[in-house]
Amino acid sequence: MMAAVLTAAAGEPTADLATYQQHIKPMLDRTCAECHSAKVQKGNFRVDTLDPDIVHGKTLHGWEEVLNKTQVLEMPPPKHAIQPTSDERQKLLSWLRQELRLAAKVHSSTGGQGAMRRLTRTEYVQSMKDLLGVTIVDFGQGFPEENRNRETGFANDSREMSFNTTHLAVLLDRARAGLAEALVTGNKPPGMKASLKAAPGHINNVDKRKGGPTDDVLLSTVFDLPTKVPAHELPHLNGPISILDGAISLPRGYRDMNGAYTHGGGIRWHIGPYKDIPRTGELRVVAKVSGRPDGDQVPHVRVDIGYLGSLMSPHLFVGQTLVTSATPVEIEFRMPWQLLAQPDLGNVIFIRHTEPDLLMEAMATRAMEARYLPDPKVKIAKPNPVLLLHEVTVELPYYESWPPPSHVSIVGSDSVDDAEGIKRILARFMQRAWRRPPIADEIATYAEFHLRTRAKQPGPVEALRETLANVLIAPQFIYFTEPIRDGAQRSPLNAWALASRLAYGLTGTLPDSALQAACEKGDLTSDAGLRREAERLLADPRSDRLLLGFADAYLGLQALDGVNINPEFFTAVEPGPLKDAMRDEARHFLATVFRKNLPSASLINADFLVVDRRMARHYGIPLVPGNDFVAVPAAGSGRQGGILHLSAVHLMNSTGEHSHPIKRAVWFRRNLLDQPPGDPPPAVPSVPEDFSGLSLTQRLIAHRNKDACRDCHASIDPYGLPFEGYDPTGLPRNEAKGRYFVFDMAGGRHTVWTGQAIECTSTLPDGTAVTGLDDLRAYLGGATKERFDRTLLNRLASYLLGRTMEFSDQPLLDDVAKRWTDAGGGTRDLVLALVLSPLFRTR
Amino acid sequence: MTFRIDRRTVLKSAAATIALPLLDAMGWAGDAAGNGPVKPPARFVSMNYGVGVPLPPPGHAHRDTWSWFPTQTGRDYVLSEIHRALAPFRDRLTFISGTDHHLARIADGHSCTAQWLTGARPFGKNSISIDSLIADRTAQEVFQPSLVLTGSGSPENTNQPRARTFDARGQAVPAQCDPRKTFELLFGRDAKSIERQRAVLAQEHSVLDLNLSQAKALYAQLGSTDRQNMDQHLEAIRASEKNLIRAESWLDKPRPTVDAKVDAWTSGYGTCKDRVQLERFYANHVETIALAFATDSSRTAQFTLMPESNHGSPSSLLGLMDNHGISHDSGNPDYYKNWGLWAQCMSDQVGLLAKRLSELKEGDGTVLDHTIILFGSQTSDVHWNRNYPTLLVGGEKLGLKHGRHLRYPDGNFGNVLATLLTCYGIDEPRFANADGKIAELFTA
Repeated sequence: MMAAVLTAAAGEPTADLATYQQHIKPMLDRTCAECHSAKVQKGNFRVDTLDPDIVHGKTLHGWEEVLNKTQVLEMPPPKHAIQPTSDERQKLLSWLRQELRLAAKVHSSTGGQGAMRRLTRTEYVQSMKDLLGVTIVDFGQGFPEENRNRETGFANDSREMSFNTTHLAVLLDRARAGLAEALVTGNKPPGMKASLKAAPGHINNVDKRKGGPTDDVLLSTVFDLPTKVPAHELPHLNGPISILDGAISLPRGYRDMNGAYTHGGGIRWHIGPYKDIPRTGELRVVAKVSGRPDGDQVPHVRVDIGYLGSLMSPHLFVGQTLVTSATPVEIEFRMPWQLLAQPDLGNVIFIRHTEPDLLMEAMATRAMEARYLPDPKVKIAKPNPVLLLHEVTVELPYYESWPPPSHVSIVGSDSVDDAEGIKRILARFMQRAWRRPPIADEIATYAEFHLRTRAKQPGPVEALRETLANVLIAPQFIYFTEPIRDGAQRSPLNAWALASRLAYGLTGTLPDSALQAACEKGDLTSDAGLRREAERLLADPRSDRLLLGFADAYLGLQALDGVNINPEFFTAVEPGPLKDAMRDEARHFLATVFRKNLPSASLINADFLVVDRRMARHYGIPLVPGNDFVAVPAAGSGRQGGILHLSAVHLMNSTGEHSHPIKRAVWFRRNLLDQPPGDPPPAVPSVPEDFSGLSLTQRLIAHRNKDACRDCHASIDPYGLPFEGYDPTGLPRNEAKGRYFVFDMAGGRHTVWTGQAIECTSTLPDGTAVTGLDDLRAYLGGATKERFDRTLLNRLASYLLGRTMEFSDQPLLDDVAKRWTDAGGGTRDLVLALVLSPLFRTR
Repeated sequence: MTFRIDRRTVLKSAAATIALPLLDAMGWAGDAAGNGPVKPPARFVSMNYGVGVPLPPPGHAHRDTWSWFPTQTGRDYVLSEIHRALAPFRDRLTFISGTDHHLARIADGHSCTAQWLTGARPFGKNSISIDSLIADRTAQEVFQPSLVLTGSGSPENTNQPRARTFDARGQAVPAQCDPRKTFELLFGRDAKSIERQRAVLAQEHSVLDLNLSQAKALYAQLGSTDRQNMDQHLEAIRASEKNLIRAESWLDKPRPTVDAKVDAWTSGYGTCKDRVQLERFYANHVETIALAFATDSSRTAQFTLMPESNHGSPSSLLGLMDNHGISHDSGNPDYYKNWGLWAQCMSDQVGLLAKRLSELKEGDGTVLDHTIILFGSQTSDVHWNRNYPTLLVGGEKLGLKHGRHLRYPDGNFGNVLATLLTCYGIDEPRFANADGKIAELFTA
């Protein structure tokens, strides 16, 4: 019934009065009226005056009270003689939940216009990076996390967004920090450049105290400092270096349990401290490397940086890249130099040879050795990939050019010390930031501010920084300004507002210059112009932000943050990295389907998996080359494609130790079918102790058979049980792992591991019998496919528009659905259909 | 208010002691020049934590040892293991059981934290919280009228919807998780000269002025739906403006010099590695509140020891399950004990604050005499948003009488809040949907 109402062709829903008359009223009259009507009003409450039209009536609160009291069996009081039958109670509860949900939707309606929203934290960070051309400032620092919409779980919902003094203070602080980097004064700061390469027979200041075996390297440094650096303060190397084929061969490094590289591996290059080198700009390391893989083991080059003086000091990860080329290639690593905030301490730069999966593998090998090879003298043959370092240079601070491109792109050829020049700079900057051409008054206002500020600041650039910071805290930057008048009909957005929606929707950032040009040319609002721009942006790599971001929102991947794999339950996996890999797998799967414009059915039953080396290793299928995610055929892999089989889905709906069929079921209904079950009632009765000892399925059945729980759980659990064939890490299983502890006489605790039979058969509320996830997948792609598609469409619309879809949007959503079908029914077609539809182009 | 503190007064303080008797420094008892005694100000602290409290049912083996509420009502109640730190204050506290916010019943216990101190209806616009209301009345007299603190460094918990403190417009007031930052805010010495500080503040004024004019220009073009969002923005500007004015007005006034060792905990208890650190973290927060009250720098504090979410789960630092797990672990024979051990850690912090405030002498008694500590939550048993755990400590000189466990089945928690307000001279009989006052709180 709910489905029918939600997908009704037009506008307002109507209350379900027929059910009230037929089932609800007779029951209320029989079981409640005695104490709660005209004659007696216990608790000052009457049921006979409650308006059966919950959706439009004024007695919402009273009905909520009925729901609360009934679902926890508080009313009628258990000792009361007249009780509703179990069936009556369920009818009442499901009617109430359905009508209250409708009422909530109607009451929150904005007539399909939504509220003006501001940039989300993510959008803000990306906009600032692109606008200022600054990558080394953390623009998200201090910016509060967004609230999520209860229904969709989306973080970009206009109704949920708050703005308070913290936001204002953070925006100002980040704008100033960004502009301090973007706009520069004076000459290029002093710095240094050091390089290193193998040079047989060469002798220099390699530190031999730590066993440095070779003089066969050439280390040279060029300083651009006001004072001369004494010889004993020159950069030097530490640790052994071996030479192979005229290059430096780096031994493979191992990580300890915490993921830190404490064993072996590479070069330690000591630098500084040099007080004359300011902590601005970037550190740049360029490594010229070649690699020789051995079997499926491929070398990676990794750069970290730490402080001199203590092995325990924090090391910052700079970057890591796969090296497959047999001929030398140059790889660049950059990081903000200011992140290393202790100017008194010198730094050590680590250049290492690593293999990201190594710990996983080393642990498995160790476990195997312990079990099968009790003799420690027997060694397993280990693969021996080689990483050669031909030359490496370190530069700090590094600037591509001076003044840096960020400065040039803002200032251009204008003078910062001239009123007209400032106006031109402001006009350009305001147009990009505010996503529309500023009017003359606005430019004048900021120019005037600049003039006042100029007198108080040391120089013109400082005054310009302060002025532009103000442009970046203006509501014209922070909000999507799509002005409409009260009571106005839906009307088309102007080109600039449309460009803003399009750019943030498809690329997560401000309109680029081509899009601005389309606005100026005036053809963006035409079908052809909009299609051209949308297709251009969808082909741009930046549209990954839409696809990956939508994957996060649609699948609710943020739930992964709240779950950690317990390594005691799942040995041979490295919990942290595996969780990250699972998240990436889910994102890339969704992105692959959209990129290839596959139909929505592929989301459910793709005949391929999208895996990288980490996930391939986890699934026990042949490793894929490289570090990237690639599609591989599902056939023959022993795994199924599709979102139900994503291990991220299994993990995030688990406890990290045990699977959680209820969470999995709620996820299935809420995220894929837009049919969330009601919230658990307050004071949900806890599972009685005499249940313990039963299997999970048995406990669920027992729980479901209690009156207070039955109504909800009869429509939840059946969707979760089919997932039981998969453990929390997404691997198939025949039994569930459990454990308990026994205590010995001395008080010691011992873990006992158990295997518990699993049950993955259930009967769905509509009578469909399903066994296992494959059956549920067939059901999703069959009986509920239409609803699945509609949910996908609704969620994508919510994501692109930054608001929850309302009843009044239904006709426009129907229009999108038709356009989608007409366009061919592919997932990329869906994005285009949405963008080209009146829903997206009007407000 | 007379402010006679000597700027050179140095209060030596570890987490344990403040050396100087503050009453002299603050002048509450009168001074040598013959100025008469001044009545010390009334303060308010609310402390809370999330995910419920253990309430073993009758007959359970842990009923007497690990129940948050005493099992007896009236005067002859016995404190359970949970409230061990409050044992010295047994006769200076009152338990109130059975009450809740009736309007909040539509939400489950995890979803109505924001209404605990406001009594508003969940899922809609909130209203002012009791701590903000009290703070607003004395805003002109003190440096930082209210402290809003939290244990969790997770941003979602410092903001809506998990905030507990709301301003007059129903907007969440962001909470601070790092006690060092609070301490710096209260007692930090700005290295810049007064003139330089004044210039910085003046610049911020002009920034806000410009932002306000831009916001108003945009506002004029908007329909009513959009204006609601823009209202938030305008309010943020006005509130920032007020903060600037306050900062300016305090530039010339003497501020106490306080030397205390308060550590930085940048991610709240997320920074803590073990139980020892967790306790030091809380002690640092408690010490900061005590110092703020002792120097009359603040008069209200709202401290969320742990939010109504599983984030960070500080219980694991005690070797227990995660916080939410504890509350649902009913199959475990030690269910109530484990939950109680966590509840004990929380109650310890209230005990610590009561102890610190009772050590600080002022006027004719101690700071605790003029401070009401409200300890509780909007969740009692599992997910259950009735029978709010509620405990009042101190505040005898504000009129409270103690030493009982009062029970009001199906009672209105708003009445508790409205009654407490009268101790601060605030008569808001309908505050938080109150429909009466609890006279018993003032009778022996």
